[in-house]
Amino acid sequence: MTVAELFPTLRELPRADKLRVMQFLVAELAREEEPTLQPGATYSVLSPFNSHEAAHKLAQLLESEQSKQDA
Amino acid sequence: MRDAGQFYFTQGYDAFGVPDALPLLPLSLGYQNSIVEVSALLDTGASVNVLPYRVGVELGAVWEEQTTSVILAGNLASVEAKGLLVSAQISNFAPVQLVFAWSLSNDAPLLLGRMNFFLAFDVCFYRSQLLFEVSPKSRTS
Repeated sequence: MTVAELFPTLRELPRADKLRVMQFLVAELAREEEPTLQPGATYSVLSPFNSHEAAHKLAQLLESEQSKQDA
Repeated sequence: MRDAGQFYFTQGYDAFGVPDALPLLPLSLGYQNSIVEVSALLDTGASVNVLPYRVGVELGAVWEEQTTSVILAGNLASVEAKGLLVSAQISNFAPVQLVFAWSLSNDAPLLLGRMNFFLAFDVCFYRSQLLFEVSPKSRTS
């Protein structure tokens, strides 16, 4: 359903219902725009943060390959 | 940025139906005679680039032949990984060598991290415009 199709229906609503629709839309917009975290939910953080030893070893691997290419 | 390629965030929804957008960079990975087209997450929080197992296999890499074992941290701490050198082509830039922690898991995401993607490329994020720019590092840096 498009917004244009909704308007005639909304126009026919009684005043109280129009206000309820407004409140609903304001709440929906706020929910979408505010950063929210769900209580008790699990959020994955897959970044291998602080993998310094791995980074060091990979740097050595990269350097050894580049040394071979330069030779 | 000079010589920057522009890319769009990939839009979707998280597990709770909240709109989300990810900086996924399309690139071609080459290893020996194989080329694989992938999308990788730009992750400044990642110490290293990470390659899921299946992508390494698609590239023709053989796990047993890789001699550099690396240990990952965070959620990937329990996953065995080995170093793998791969050629990467991004946009129309000259190919560069990227070194990946090739994980023995398909659950690991394809990540571009600080060693060595962010050493080779500069990135600007414009999240409000759902846009990011990538350019090869300047020669002086």
